[in-house]
Formats: sequence, structure tokens, C-alpha cells
Amino acid sequence: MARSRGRPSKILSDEAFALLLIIPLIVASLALTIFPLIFSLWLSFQEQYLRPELHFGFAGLLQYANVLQDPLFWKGIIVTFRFVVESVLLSALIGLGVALTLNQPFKGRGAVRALVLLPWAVSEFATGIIWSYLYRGSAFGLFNAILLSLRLISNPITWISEGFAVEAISLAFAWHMAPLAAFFFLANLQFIPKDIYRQARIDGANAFRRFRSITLPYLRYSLMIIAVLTMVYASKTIDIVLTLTGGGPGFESSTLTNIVYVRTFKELKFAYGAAMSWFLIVIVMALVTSTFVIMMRVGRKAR
Amino acid sequence: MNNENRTLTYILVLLIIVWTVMPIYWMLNLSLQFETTIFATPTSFVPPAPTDFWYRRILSIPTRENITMSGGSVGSMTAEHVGRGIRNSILVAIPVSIAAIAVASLSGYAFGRLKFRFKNGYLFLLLASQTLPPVAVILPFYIMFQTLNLLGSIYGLMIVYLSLIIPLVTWILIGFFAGLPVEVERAARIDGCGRLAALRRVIFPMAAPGIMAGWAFAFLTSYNEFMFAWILTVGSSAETLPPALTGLFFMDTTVPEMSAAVILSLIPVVLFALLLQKYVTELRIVDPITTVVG
Repeated sequence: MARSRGRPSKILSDEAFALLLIIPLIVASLALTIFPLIFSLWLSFQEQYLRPELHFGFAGLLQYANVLQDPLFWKGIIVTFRFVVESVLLSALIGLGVALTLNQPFKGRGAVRALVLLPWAVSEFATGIIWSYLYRGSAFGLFNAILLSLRLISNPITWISEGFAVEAISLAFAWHMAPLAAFFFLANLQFIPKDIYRQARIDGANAFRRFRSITLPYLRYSLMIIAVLTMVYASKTIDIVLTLTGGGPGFESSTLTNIVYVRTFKELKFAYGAAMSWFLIVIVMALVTSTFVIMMRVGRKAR
Repeated sequence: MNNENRTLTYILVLLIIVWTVMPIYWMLNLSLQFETTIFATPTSFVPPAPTDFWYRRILSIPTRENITMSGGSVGSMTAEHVGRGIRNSILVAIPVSIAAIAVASLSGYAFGRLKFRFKNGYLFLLLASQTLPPVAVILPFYIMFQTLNLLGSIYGLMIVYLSLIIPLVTWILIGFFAGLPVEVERAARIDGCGRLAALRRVIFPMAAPGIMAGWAFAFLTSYNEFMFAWILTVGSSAETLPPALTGLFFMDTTVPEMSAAVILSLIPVVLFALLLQKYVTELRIVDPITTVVG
């Protein structure tokens, strides 16, 4: 098509030039993933023997069948699901609130916009460490320190307790992820034409109505991006869980990644861990693929 | 805007600042105290008698207190590892982020601006490579690196990071390149610029903010990565920050020492973020899929 418009320099077609440019990318993304994937697939069909020395023998689907009977596997799936849903909701809601506020004119807006990105630059494992000190059940935990100095409580509270450990991680994770959400929302908000709001106001639409009928539909795209990113990050993370709760109390807050980690590296069940990690890979891939398809549909419709 | 709305905005802004800064401030507060004041009830919100003892200990700068408190030896081994970890992490992140942004700019341009066969397929591959949970592939990686004698090597970690970060940054840049005006490039080409010259003289200068933001993403991702750093460098002289910091954490160090280590580890990140915040906050991210996929 470009050629028919009579563009200069026909030595290289768009096609050839593009392939030339993306070769390093393809090499980088495949070189180190192909072998580990094939190896772990092979491993997942083996039985592991420890005597006389560590060796493997073909066992068909045995490990996969074992995984399905592992109560911790199902526990991990439920915890992951809970963690992912809570993280997406919290990150999107907090991010939206931040973006809508920072979209208003006020003094020092530029500085505040830069500042709110900070938690995103803090790594997930450091986020876990920091929040573990906020939740700490002794007097020096931030939440306890606040309540103690306000004299609302007289003894420190154990914050990460049975039943709420996953929520504790989700909140910390949202602290880390919400800035990214706010960033996408803010970029997206700039594209909404101001005239629409003025017109809506003249037509007598109140603030809530304007938000629901104008702002929200315009933000649909960034909402989806945020949902996908948070979903992918939350379902594959392990660091924040390790540093914040260690997966506990017991296995209360162990996501599927934690269970894979425990089975593989703590119990040294390599073949079994490989089979379980294939369930994990398939789950994450299914999430991403379905989103990819939906986004393509939405993209086509938008044009 | 009326006054009531303005007051509400300022209250919300204040809340946002507290939510953002409070967790980090709390670490700073703890890091400047000794345990005696930390365990007082309630813990003070400002250090009663600020001390830099824990920072000196981590960076192994001798002080009088050091000598009296730890019986002559300066610092503890695990604490000193944090200082070394920060150095190693920066040594890895700088070359990795520069190489990654160079490669990712080219491929980002190709995906954003050129038409070619199987583009959707490549895009999907790109997306898929981003979703592999590290914990699922870490064992084969370990074996592979052991065979290649790259365990505990800073270069081995660099290779891993390039393969993680190039696709990530490409993904971010695609939409950015797609959003640049086509006319300028076309005019340059008609004026006789070759493809590479047009890239160098027209496209890349226009794309500079996006490329700087991509560089920031690349640097932070490399500096903050946990799983590979842990499995591939822990306990070696190439140990980077994440394993060092986590090691200290699980060794049950003292509260203020851990806090100081976290605050120290954040300094490079904050400096880097400050340096590039102008580009990052101004970046217009266009949706890669809906703008590119045909």
C-alpha cells in the first residue's frame, strides 16, 4: 500500500524493515523461555525417585492427577482468586479516586501527581516489608500506634489474623498498584472533551449523572488495561506474600504461586511442582488470552 | 469551581498524600530511633532523639556507638550485604535498562508504525511472554544457569533481565509510537531521508519523552525484580538488593535496622523517579491493541 503511494527508498519494504527491527525482540523473548518451558513440561510427566540418587522416570499424567487431589492446590486457587479480585477492585477504585481528584485544578498539582507515583516505584517485596511494619501487632505497628495515641485502644491489636490475611495483602498490593491505575486514568481523562461536560450541565445533569454518563464510558479502555495488568501481576506475584505474611497464618494467605514454591523448593518435589506450575501457567494464560480477544473486539468496534 | 468544591478537593488531596507517604514515613521514623524508644507505648511519631546509627551500620561507616555497642566489630554481615546489594542492583540495572530501551525502541517503532505479516501473532507472543509466572520457570532456569556456570554471576542476571524487560518496554512503547503524527516522518522520507536517517533524525527525537519513560520502567523493573535475583544470586558476591534485603528481613534483624535498610534501598529509586518524573507524568499512553491491531 505504501508503495502505491510512491514513497521513496524501495530497497527495503516495510515488511522486511519491520522484521529486521523486531528480530532482537523475538530472540530476547524466546531465547530464555523456550527451554525452561519444555524442561518443566517434560518434568511434569515424570516420577521422582530419591534412591539410590535423584532420578526421574516417565509417569504419564500421574503428577497432574496428584495435584488435583492436593487440598493445598485448591486452597491456593481460592486464595489467588480472592486476592486477584480484591486487588483489581481496590486498585481500580483507589486509582480512580486519585485520578479524579488530581484532575481538578489546585496549587501544586504537578508535584502531587509526581508524588503519587512513588509507591509504584517501590518494589513488591519492599511493599510487603513496609506494610508488615504497619500491620505489626506490637505497639510500633503504625495502625496500633495511631489508635494507641488516640487512646481508642489500650492494647495493641493483631491485624493480620485468621480470616483477614488475604485482605491485608490486597490492601498493601493496592497501595503499590493504584498509582499505576491513577496514571492510566489521568492520561485517559485528558482526552475527554470539556464541551460535553458544559453541555450536560446546561441540560441539568448533576455531578453523579455526569460521572456515570460521560466520564465512566470514556474510561472504559483504561479500566480494562488496569484490570488486565492488576490481574496478571497479582496472579503471578509471590514476593509481597512472602514478605508480608509468609503465606500464613498456616496456609491462610498462600496463593497458588506460594504453594508451587513450597512444594518445589521447600519439599523438593520437583516433578510435582512442575505439574502444579503448569496449572498456574494455563490459568494466567487463559486470563490473558480472553482479555486479548475482548480488547481486539472492543478496538474493532471503536473504529 | 465554587469554594465548597475547592475545599473538598484540598481535603482529598491531603488524604491522598497521607495514603501515599505515610507508610514510607513510618519506616523513616522507625529507622532513626533505637529499640528503647520504638517499643515504648505508644511509639512516637517523630524520633525523640534521631540517630543515624543504623544507616552507618549498613553502610559500614564506623562510629563511636558502633564500637561500643557491637564490641569493636563494625556492622553485621547481613546488614552490610544490603549496601553491597544496592551497588550490585544499580550495576545491573544501568546497562540492562540502556540496552533494553535501545532494542525496545526499534521494535516498538516497528509494531507501532509499520505493517507486516503475522503482526497480531507476534503481539500475542509478546503479551504471552509477559505472563509467565517466575515461580513456574525458576527451577529450569536454575539448572540451565548451573550448566552454563552463570549462577552467582552478575552477567547471568543481566541476560535474564534483558529477556524479561525488552518485551515489557516494547509493549509500553508500541502505543506511544503509534500515537506520533505520521506526516512529519512522511515529509522527511519524501525529502530524501532513508529509513534509518528518518528514524534517527525525526522519529526518535519526537519519541524522546516516551523513550525516557520506557527507560524508567526498564530501570525500576530491573532494580526491583525479586524471584530471579533471589534464586540466581543469593549468597554469592553478585547478590543484588532483593535477596540481601529479604535475607536481612528473615534473619529477624532489629526493627530500626530493617527500616533503615528499606529506606536506603528506596533512595536510588526515588532519585531515578525524580529525574524522569517529568516524562512519566506527561506520557500519553495510547492503547497498543486497539490502535495497532487491524
